[in-house]
Amino acid sequence: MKAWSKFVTIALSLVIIASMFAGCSKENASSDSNEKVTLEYWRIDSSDQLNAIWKKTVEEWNTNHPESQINLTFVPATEYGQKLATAFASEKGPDIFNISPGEFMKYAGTGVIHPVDKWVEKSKDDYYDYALEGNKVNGKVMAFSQGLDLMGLFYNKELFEKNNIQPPTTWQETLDAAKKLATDKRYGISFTTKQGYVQNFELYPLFWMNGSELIKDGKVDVNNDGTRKALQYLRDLMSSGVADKSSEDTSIDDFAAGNTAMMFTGSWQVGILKDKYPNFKYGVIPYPVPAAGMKTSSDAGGWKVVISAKGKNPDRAGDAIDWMMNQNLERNVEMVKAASQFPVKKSVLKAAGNYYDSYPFDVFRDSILPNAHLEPSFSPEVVKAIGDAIQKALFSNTPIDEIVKTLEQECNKAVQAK
Amino acid sequence: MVKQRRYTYLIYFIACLLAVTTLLPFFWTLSGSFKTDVEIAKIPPTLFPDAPTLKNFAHVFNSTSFFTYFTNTLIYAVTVTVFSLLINSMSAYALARLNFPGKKFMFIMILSTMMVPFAVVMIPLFLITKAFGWIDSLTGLIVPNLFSAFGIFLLRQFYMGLPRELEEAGKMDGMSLLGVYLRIVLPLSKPILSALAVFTFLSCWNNYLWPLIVISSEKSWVLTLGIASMASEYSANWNLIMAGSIIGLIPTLLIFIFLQKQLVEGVKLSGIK
Amino acid sequence: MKRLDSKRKEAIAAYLFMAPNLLGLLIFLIGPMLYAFYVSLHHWDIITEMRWAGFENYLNAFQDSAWWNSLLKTLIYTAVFVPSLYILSLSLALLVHGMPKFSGAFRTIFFLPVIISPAISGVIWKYLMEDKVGLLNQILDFFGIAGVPWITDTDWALYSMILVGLWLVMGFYMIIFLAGLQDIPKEYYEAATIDGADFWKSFRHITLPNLRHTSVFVIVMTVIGSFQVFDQIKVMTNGGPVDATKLSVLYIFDTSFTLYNMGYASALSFCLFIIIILFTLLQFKLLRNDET
Repeated sequence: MKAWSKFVTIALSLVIIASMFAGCSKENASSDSNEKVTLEYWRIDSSDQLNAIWKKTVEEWNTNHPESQINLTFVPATEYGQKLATAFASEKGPDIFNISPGEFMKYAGTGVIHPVDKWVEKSKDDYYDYALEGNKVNGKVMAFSQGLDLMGLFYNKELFEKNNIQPPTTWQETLDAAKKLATDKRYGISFTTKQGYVQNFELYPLFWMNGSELIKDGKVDVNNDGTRKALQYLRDLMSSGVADKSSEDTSIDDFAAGNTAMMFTGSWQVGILKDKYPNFKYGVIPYPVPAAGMKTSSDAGGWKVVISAKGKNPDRAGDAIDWMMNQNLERNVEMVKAASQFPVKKSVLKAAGNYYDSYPFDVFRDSILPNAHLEPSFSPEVVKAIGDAIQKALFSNTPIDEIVKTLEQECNKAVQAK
Repeated sequence: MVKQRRYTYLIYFIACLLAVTTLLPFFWTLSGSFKTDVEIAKIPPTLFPDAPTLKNFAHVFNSTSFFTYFTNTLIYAVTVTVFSLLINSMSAYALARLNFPGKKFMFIMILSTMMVPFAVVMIPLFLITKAFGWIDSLTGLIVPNLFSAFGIFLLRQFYMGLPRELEEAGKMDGMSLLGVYLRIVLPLSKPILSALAVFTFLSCWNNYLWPLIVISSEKSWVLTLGIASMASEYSANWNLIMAGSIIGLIPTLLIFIFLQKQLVEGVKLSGIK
Repeated sequence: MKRLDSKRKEAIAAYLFMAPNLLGLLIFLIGPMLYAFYVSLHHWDIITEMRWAGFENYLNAFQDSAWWNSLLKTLIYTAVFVPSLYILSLSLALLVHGMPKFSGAFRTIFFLPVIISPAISGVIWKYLMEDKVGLLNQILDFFGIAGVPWITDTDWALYSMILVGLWLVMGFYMIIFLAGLQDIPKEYYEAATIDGADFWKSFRHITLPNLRHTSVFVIVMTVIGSFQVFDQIKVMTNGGPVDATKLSVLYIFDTSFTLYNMGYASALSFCLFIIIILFTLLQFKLLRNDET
């Protein structure tokens, strides 16, 4: 009797599993050019403004293209990656979708994303070089970018003026300024302390400025002075007590409220600050350099829009996105402005008129952008290895040399596993 | 008599201390929901808002399709609660009182469903839901959540603790098994069923991940998705989120208060020799 | 003959009572678990095809020091959490149970943390536990005590997580105990008082024994729960600082959805599963669960 019930249970379960596999039949991509197709477009829920612009744009496309209808869905940003992955795991992935820099490499490197060279070719010359390069994987352009986020050092103008401090130009000056301005209720400086691709994005320039590329062209170049110096500086900032130990990139409210005197953050905050805190006086400067005379650097990256290679009709999807993001100048300017980003195309910059002449956009455009380094497309394992190293530098007593050695090992492992 | 008085005072004193610790974070959420964008970030955080505003609540009600989300969540939570209460109590009774082959194995198997992290069963569950054709529908939200080992385990333990005399008396009076269950056991279970009802309702109401995975169309969104959409990737908007959460927790709170009386009904042993 | 008949009747009745649940559990819970086991025998990055791996994932798990570290952290968490929760929620239940008036209000207050979603609670506690200006340190400061690095110190962080965990569920288990307390007939206590028993005596000889089945539930449930604690830790520290709070399920989550290594994550889940089930069976034996 006991065995019988066990048997029934197991048999039933096997039947269920079998049916799961049966349900996994592949959908054939339609290539008939006249058949009506509905394309699923997933975007993360952004500002009301940006959402509205996209809704309008999609509506325009749908009105003029009855045979290629786009169904725009907004997804909350929290755990968006899980929803995306689960959908693809069950052959229900969207045809067009937003993707974060952290996830981009995984999808691009495994053939889930369809190359977009064919559409980008047309306006190749309009693109800034760096913009195209950042979306290339194995020589092919794999994503559309609406705009770029640029990193800079934001500082509280009032605090600096009141305390008679000049905006810092070197790492030492930054540390000194932070020490002077930190009180028992205020931090001297803050940046994302939570491990993840965002933290990496903010802190890469510290490595680059010292000449450490970490991984370039598939070669691991971690065990060098540049890496050590960057990690040591992070440790100095944190151990001196002037840096906020638990801060995230969304803590702009903290900055505007005066809880931190300086913040490593990006151009997207300009729009937010203008909306929420129009009277708040702040300044933006390029990342301070390790020592006087060295060149500054910055990180340029951001969310992208990609086409699924497993979608119903990648060609039509590409046509649609190309039209929405490249053929509609006025709309593109609106999009870039709404996201407070930098245009990736010269024509868009021109059409924006003197929008980028205002402070601090001009700082970004003139002092930061020329020295910007593209956000590297590292695999998740590398992102984690670098994140681990940063975490150890910030919060542990592990000797820097040891951290660098482990980082090198992990990066080698990750690169070899390709 | 005096000793009892002192005990009572002691009880209240300790209870008040603990209550304050419990209330503090909650109260802070409440006050945060009335704060302006600027004030929510103020350090040190103020306990009472300087310039209380209803703007956050207005924003929640207006900018999101609040009523739709609320209704969806209500349908989802109520359906799951009522249905699972029914089937859980039946299964629990069988496991507690009846003897049958494979009983031990069944119980362990049921418990084992709670021992694997959701992260790794999420995708297979999605595949099954997809096979049924329930993706992006309330059905896909409801059905997988109807079955939970937690309720079965809770009720089984409770039934095992009930004095057998009442059921024996019923059997001797000639009641069938179903009769004993419906007319004796079920009424006695009111306290524990109320607790389980609140818990089940609550876990549905606060569920975020599965609704996020299963549902895409905004018209089928539940409240947690609506609240999450107020925090964009770039800005935290804590005052909005707190306002949304306060609104979100009111139904559960109401149900809890409503079921309070059930929770404290005791067993009456009168009539039993 | 008659005995066999009634036994069979009972068995059939039992299976009928359990049928809807069994069917549902099989399809929506056991099924996915078996599939997850199937996945654990493969390498799978979720978005492309699976590759057969046999037991490679399990072998790797044995050599994964980070995994062992997360298991250790989980064990410490469980070892401290479970007894604390038991004592705390039982005490709350006794407190409320013994109140002549206002018990309803106190019940509601203690239950409030349960109602707020763990994610929101996590955010709130993150602010409360902030180093410089968090409310907790402000209160300590008021009493002249130095502030505590609640979640930014590698030693404190784990215990802070335990604290938050207790706060989140103590109200719920209080209600469970209350329901159990209600069912202890007042007559028992009255008889004991007549015999001259004080609070502790009647607690040990009446309350505790009658709460045995409820206690089994609380203990087994909280062990299972703390082995899988996730939500509030993810929000508050995300496993940091430097993996101080990277408990098992966080490790598994990272492996699956951050590193896209679902095969390995599934294998780790089953390692965890074996551990939890062994602990549970052990508890059942020790607590003599089958006796009524």
